[in-house]
Formats: sequence, C-alpha cells, structure tokens
Amino acid sequence: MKALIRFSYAATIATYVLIFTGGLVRVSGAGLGCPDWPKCFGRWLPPTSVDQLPAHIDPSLFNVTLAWIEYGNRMLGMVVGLLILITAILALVHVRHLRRIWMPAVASALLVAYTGWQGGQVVAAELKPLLVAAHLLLSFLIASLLTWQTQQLHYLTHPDTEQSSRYPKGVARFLTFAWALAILQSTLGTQLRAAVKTIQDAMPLGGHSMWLDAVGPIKHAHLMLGIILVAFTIVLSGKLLRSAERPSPLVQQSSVALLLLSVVMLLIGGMMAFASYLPIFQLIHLWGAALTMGLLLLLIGALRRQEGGSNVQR
Amino acid sequence: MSSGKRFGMLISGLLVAAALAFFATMVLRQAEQSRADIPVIQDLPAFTFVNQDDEPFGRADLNGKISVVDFIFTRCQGACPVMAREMSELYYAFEGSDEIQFVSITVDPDHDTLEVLQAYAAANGVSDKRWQFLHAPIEEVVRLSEEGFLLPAENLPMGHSPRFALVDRQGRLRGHFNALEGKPMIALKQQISQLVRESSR
Repeated sequence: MKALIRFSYAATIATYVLIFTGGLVRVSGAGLGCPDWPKCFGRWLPPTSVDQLPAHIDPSLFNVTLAWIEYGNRMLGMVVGLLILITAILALVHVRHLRRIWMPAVASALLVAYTGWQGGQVVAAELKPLLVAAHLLLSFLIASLLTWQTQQLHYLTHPDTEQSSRYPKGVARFLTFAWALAILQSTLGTQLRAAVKTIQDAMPLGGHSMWLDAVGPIKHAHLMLGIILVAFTIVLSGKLLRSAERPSPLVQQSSVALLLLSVVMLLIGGMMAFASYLPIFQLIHLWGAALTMGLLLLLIGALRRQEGGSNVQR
Repeated sequence: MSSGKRFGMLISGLLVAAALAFFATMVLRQAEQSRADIPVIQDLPAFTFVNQDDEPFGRADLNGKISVVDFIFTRCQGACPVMAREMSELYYAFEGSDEIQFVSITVDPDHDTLEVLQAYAAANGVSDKRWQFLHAPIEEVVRLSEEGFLLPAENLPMGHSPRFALVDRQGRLRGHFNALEGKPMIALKQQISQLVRESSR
C-alpha cells in the first residue's frame, strides 16, 4: 500500500515534468531531432557525428543538440510509462475493491502506452499539427487521471482530511465548470497553435503580426475564453481563501497557486496575443495550462469530499 | 498552517519554477545556437551558363542571394516532378523576399532547349526572376554538379541527384537536402530562414 502511494505520487509528478519537457521539444523545434522512432538515426543512443548516420537517413536532418532534446523526452517518457504501469499493477493488487482508484490507474497506463506510440506517429507524420495537438491533450488527460487518483489515495490513508473544514457552498460546482472550460480552452489553444504553425510553414519569413493576421477567428475565441477563465478562477480561488473555515493546507495552497498561476497565464497569454511567440512564453503557457487543470482538479476533489460530508464513496 | 511554513512553501515553489525556467532557457539557447551553426562545405567554382531567356547566369549571380539549386530535365518522369513540386512550394513560400532565388539546371541540354525550358518554367507557375532555369553544354553541367555542388552526375540524364543544394550569400555550398522526402524539405525551409537571419560572415 505504501509502495502504491509512493509510485502514484512519483508517476504524477513525473508526468507533469514530462509535459514540461515535451513542451520544450515543441518550442525548441526539436520535434524532428530524431527523424525515426523509437530509435534515433537507427541507434538506441543518438549519434554524435554525421559519420554514424545510417545510409537511408538524409544527413541534412542531423543536429546533435536537437536529437538529444527529442531523445531526452522519449527516455523520460519511458520512465514515466514504467512508473504509471507499476502504479496500475499495484493498484490492482492493493485496491481492487476501490474502483475510483484502480480505474484511473489502469486507464492512465493504457493511455500512456498509447500516447508513447502516438508520439512515434507524430514524428512519422512530420509533426502534423493536429497530431501534435492530440499528443498534448492526451498528456493532459493522463496528468488529470493521475492527479485525481493520487489525491484519492491520499484520502484513503488520511480519512480525516477535510472533515473539519467548511467551504462556501456551490464553489465545487463552479470549479467543475471552470475545469470543463479549461479543457475547452486547451483544445482551442492547440487548434490555434496548429493554425499558426500551418501559416508559419506557408510564410516562413513572416513575423508575429503577419502570422496572427492570417489566423482565423479562433484567436479571438481563445483570447476571450482565456480572459473569462482567468477571471473565473481568480474569483473562485479568492472566495475560497476569504470564506473558507479551517481550510486544509491543500485547499489553501492550491487556491494561492491557482490565483498566482491565473495571473501568470493572463500576462503570458497577453504577451503572445499582442507581442511575440517567444519560445519560453509558449512553454510557460502550455505548462501553466496543465498545472491549472491539475490545481482545479485538486480543489474539486477536496471540496467534493467535504461537501459530501463524511460519505466516503466506494 | 503557520505563516513561516507557508512562506517556506512559497519560496520553494518559486525556486522550483526559477530552476525550470533557467533549464528551459539554457536548452532553448543551445537549440537556437545549434540551428544557427550550418556548416560551410565549400566555395562554388566559376561558371557561366544562360537562363531560359538566354541571359547569362554565372557564379556572380549567386552573390548576395540565398540560392536553392537542383539538377533536372524536363522529360523526366521519375524524381523531377516531385523536385519541381517541392521547388515551387519553396518558390511560393518565400515569395515575399527577393533575397532568395531558385535555380534549376538541365542535365539534358540537347532536348531542353531554351524554348523547352521557358515552357517548363511557365508550366511550374514561374512568373519572375526568383526561379531560373539554366542551360549549358553537358560537360560543364557535369563538372559543376560533381565538383561544385558535390552531387553525383552519372548516367545522365536519368542519373542526376534528387537533392537540392543550399548556397549562401557568398556563393558557398551549405548543405544537401533530399527532395523526395518530407523531413529534409522541412529542414531546408528552416535553414533558408536561418541563412536569411545570418549576417554576412
């Protein structure tokens, strides 16, 4: 049981790190750093010089830095996959009677295997924008499942958590609504990114404003929904911080983090909408989205537990 | 939770964020540098050919422009249609810049007369000087392909290379890209953009 909890925590944290490194691959333009999959230029470790390339791969594709950025993400992906797999097995062994824990564990194991394979398809399809988008959304889904499952495991061993806390009524429902909005917003974001990429390919020498001009109304939709979502999360986390009685440390910290993150997302999103697609902005934006969804889930999990009173669902 | 503990949490959270941002910045900088580092293979030798409009086109016409060069022949049914399609995609992608030119050299000069090349240019949608089609005696073409561009030219016309050569503003060969595959064409587009940014070294 202890092992299950440890693996669950490790898998969850590692998954968020993997989303970060995956984003880094994307924004550093290293997606084709290894043109083949799962090997890199036909080797299990990326080659160090162009002489080591197999004959069937065009030498123009070789850039040792980009190869290692891409391969690093693949290796971390392997580690994360194993962590999630072990967690799922342990969950089936120890908590087979608790569907709310073993189901997300097994689902995330299946999804992570699929996502790894799908990453290979992304490379094979030369980073086709819609496949890249799907890869990101799959990773968000896995991170969400793991977050939920780890929190449930925590409550299993700390049954008293949230039992003495009192939270303002209705916030849990609004948080769930915000989470649904966040999924919609992430999907819009990936579609906007795909549209920008298509336009960048067609006009490689254009600049930020030229590319953005050519993108359709989706940019307005993403910006508007972003502002609404940020306002919403700021109000909700503010309400939790002001009106909660004896909030648990988790709820308190998550509320503060959500508040700060919302402000950061607004600033960075604004920079990207009006100034520049600087890679570091894109990375923070993408990872911030993953973290926002994770924090919303944590709060929903905590508040639902408290709102349901002492009923520990089986 | 005590305010001291809360402060500690905040500080450690910020430290982790700062460390990740630092790591990402380093990786991004490395990636940027590695992309800027396009090797110089060699200087191209002197040559003087003519274009489809019977105007001279030689080594000097490569200076000051970024050029993508390939060897083709108009009757070819194998690689050339793909090469022409890829070249015309680049021609349209970079239409905003006079700094980038595209040069196709025929390896079948007996058949590919200037009229034939003119028709081929028109068929590929060429409407300006950014894409030119060159004609020269076959021995000179072979010499330029093999010695200048380091592209094999045996058993012509069929045996021409399917690779595009990238040439910088100083008329130096910078790379080869297989036009029959998608990924090298993506790399070529990136390297053209990179050379545009590269100040004359």
